[in-house]
Amino acid sequence: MSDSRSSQRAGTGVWLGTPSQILEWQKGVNAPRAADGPSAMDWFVRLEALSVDRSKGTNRAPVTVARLASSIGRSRNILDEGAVFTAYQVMRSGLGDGATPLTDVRPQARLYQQARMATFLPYRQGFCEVLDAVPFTAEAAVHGYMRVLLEWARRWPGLTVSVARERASAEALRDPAMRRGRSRIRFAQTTRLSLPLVVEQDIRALVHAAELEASEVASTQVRPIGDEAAVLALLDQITVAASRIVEDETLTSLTATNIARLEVNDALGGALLRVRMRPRDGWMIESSAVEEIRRWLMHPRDGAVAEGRASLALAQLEAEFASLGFVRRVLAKEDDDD
Amino acid sequence: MTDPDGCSPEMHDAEARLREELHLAPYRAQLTMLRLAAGVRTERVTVRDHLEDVLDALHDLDEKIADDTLRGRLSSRGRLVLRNDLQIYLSGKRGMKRPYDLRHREALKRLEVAESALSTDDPELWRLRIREAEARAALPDQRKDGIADIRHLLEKKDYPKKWNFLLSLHAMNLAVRLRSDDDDAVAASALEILEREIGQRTERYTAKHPFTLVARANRILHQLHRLEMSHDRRALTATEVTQARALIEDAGALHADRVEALGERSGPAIRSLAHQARALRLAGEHEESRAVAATAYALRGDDPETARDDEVPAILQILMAGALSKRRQTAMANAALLCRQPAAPTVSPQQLRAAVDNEIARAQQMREEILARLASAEDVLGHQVPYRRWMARASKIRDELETGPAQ
Repeated sequence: MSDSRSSQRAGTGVWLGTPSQILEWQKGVNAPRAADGPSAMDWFVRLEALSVDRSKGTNRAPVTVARLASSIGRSRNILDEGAVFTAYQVMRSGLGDGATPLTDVRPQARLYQQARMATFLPYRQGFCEVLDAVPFTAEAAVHGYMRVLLEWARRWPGLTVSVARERASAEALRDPAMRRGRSRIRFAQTTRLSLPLVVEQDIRALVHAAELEASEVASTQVRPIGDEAAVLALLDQITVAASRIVEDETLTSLTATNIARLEVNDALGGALLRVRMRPRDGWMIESSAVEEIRRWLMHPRDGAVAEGRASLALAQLEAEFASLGFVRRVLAKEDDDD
Repeated sequence: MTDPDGCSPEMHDAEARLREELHLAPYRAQLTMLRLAAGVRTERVTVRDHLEDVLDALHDLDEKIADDTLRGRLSSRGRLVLRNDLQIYLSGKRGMKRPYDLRHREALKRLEVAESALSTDDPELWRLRIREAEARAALPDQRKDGIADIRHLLEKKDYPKKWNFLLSLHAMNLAVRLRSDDDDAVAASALEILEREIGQRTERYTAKHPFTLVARANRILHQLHRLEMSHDRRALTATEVTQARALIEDAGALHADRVEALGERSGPAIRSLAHQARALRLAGEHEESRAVAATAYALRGDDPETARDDEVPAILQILMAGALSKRRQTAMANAALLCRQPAAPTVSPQQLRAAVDNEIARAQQMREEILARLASAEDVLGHQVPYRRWMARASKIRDELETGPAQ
């Protein structure tokens, strides 16, 4: 897929397209292969269930094709199953990937790669539906896409595990410097985990849309969008974030996404600009300022404070101070996150 | 698909949940995106309406997949949990206007529904129990029991020996709740939690991760709060002033990290400036404190005009903008609502009345200071166009303060 899959729509925000071949493939995945036979999705669901030993938390291990076939009650040659062979070709073709000879991809990798795509696409569909209904800037869409992706990783941890072939090719592609020192740990984390194939293209398309968006905004606040290296660093960090969420199923997608926050900032040319301040933040700042005045006046440096008459104006000020001082105390006690 | 031979009940259950998840996935993604939309200023978006639509769609989904659910092919757990998440989020958006006893009733109801629908060892029940205990701890007459239950639930999960995101989140909520406790030992235990959480979060998510920064902010707030409590009673000791000076540095570093991660105009970044202003005040740096508070105040608004006003001392901004600001009027209306609530956290109606009386007495003492400041403001700013409407208000206040109430 090319960057043209995503672009700015004048006045309505960014959108993300899905090639028709992928939609066709998705339809086929959910259809039964024969009467009473399992659909490809049945294979994928069983693959996830077998990939995680739920009695031992989130321990994950790749499942062999033979074990899966046996578990699902299909003992014949696995390559006869459309879910594994023919459908895989359709999916790769839909992704526009003609570079990899498909015969080089082992059945286990085909299964996992399709399972990741098939289970992620419904989340991606929800993402696209919101983009259609609500105007999003491309930079906000990148943040949103990552959160949605991590929602998937949290619920399908078994499918995120890299199979041997994927791990080997990831290692071959990485910068040798990554294998030394502190990078070694992160390197190991990222090679243990694989994301749906569509993710890299989607992220690249959205970052490209953010680039177009920034070029149309004449503002000193917009910094240059990161280069290819920044995008790769971002993808790498998303994988680290995904590895955290599969290790800790209580982790929210927001907190996991924030693991890649600084890389996102690098890729998008700065922190997300259009973050709305919650009204309570405004009140907190105002009441904090009032509290500052109150304390300042409570401890006058000259010690000389005259008594005076109460006027309506003073009563109004008093009420404001009292109200805002109280709001401040309530907020200070209530605000869980700060 | 027919169940293969040898499929264990655990496997069957896992698959039923996964199949349900496939139906829920688009709605889960929509909730995630809409929550982001609520915090991003794009165009005016009625996020709440869209979220209500998602709730309706979940209702339709119940009917659509009812047969498969009855046959046990699909679980119904995911829908219950997602619906809870949505309702909790929607309730949170109603925010300050909802009395604490209502929040508690809602939390209790959610727990009761889940207890009747989920198996006794379902992790969702722990999450709803601790939320209920937290809502209960916000009720003055049940604070002690609520806190005891929060502690018990954390211990039951073997916290702090075991650590995960959820335990960390609720331990932090507990520490925040204990911040204002009269007992110094209790407050010290809160600080212990905060220190531990900063260490854990740094190790797992890095030092500049927003979740770590929240822990750092809460430690600063905790220390500020304790020092301010001392300052209300007596002059700070030299050691306490040194602590306040250290907090200025901490708040400054926090602000820099939040700007880098979240942007200069993000709520958390601006709040850390307000923390720094409080630390400066405690350290006796009044002018600097007011300057930092003024910057925070100027950055807080949506109106670009307010960003230009950072040179105006905070006191003048409050006095002059206050009566004109709709947002402030809303804050006051909310405060009035809170005053009528029987169950504000840790403050009884008697304490509240006493606090308000105290504020009024102090406000009377402010009068002369305010008069002097308004006069000097008129001298400095009276001729400047951007401040003209504020000055009109300031002049009116000064006249009334000097001459008494209008008849």
